[in-house]
Amino acid sequence: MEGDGSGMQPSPEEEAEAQRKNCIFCHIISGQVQSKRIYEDESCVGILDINPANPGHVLLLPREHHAIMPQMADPDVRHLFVAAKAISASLLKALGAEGTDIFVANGTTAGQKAPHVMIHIIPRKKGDGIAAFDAKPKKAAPAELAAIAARLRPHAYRMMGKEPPAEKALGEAASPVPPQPTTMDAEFTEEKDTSDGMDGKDRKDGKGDDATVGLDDIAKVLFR
Amino acid sequence: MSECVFCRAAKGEIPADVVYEDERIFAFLDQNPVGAGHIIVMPKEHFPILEQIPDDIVGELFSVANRLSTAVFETLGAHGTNLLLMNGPAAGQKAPHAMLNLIPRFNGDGLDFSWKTKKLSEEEMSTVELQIKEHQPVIGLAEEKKGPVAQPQEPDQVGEGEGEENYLIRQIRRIP
Ligand SMILES: [Zn+2]
Ligand SMILES: [Zn+2]
Repeated sequence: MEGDGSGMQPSPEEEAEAQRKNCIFCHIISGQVQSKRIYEDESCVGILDINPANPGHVLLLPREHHAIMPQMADPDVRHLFVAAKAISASLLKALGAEGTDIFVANGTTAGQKAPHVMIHIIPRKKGDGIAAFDAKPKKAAPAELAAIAARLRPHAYRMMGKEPPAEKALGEAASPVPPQPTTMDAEFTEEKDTSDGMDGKDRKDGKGDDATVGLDDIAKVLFR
Repeated sequence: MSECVFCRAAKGEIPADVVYEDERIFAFLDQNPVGAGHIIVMPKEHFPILEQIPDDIVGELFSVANRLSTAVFETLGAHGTNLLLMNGPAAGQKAPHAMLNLIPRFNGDGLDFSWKTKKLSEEEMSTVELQIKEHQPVIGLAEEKKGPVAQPQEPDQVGEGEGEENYLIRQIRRIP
């Protein structure tokens, strides 16, 4: 019976339940909190943002509570953006918008304000004064780009449930220069375990990657 | 044949720092990144705007981007990620090949994608709500009347009355 009854450490289930109870967006989805709902289906709900970047700014919310998108089940992610596309088309027609920005922030560092995954769909018009997405491109050294790509590639393929291609196969497309160590390379360790890639729920920090930040850490920051 | 540099990159005709590719999706590092590890994820097939991409490829695109997001957290030690699809020149789209930006974020990286919010009256909000409801978002609507995407590089040439999707192309048309 060790480890029971103290009540100090809530189980992950209890923690998740507490998060839902405190989540304004879960209350909006359930209808306990009012909103202007412009779209809904079995897995997501689209509402008007009450603090819009432009009139018609839509927040698209998965019904299931997750703090960040990598924690969502893959089919739900796919569906969410198919719905986002339909909403975008609707904004172009309904509001005469000349474009839309589809924006997601994962983590407070990325500008996420609330611990419930949301897609911003922002109708745009020329000269509307929104400068949020005008980030200045920087120059990057080819060797540095090649090094970053080489680091990402094996993990990226494994995330898709595939074997990374032999570096030869990518050949000159990647870089004729072998990846040079950069500052970011310092903490890089090749990950050995093969993940199933799809479900964020049971994924923790990559094994042996002490320096990396796990999804749960990114998600947890949102609850502080 | 194809003039689009992104189509050419997807075909391997132009070198790119490939992060991931499969039959339909191509992901590579932006040569002029807004931050370290900035990835472009796009359909290999040429579609100028989001509304033209078939639903299954839209799903695939964001599914891949979402999993790359995890790869970015775990291999680059990013503290956050942004996904940004700029749909139409008015939204910041620079090239007529629809693409999604995956931007790793690090504490103190100096990037800021926040916007000034507008205050709308209750009446204005209700008006917008009604306007949108008159054109109720429906999944698959753009697909229904879809023909082959004719010369997507020249959305201006798309004829009148050719259905939902072409209407949207006309509306968004000022793609360079
Ligand atoms: Zn929630
Ligand atoms: Zn193209």
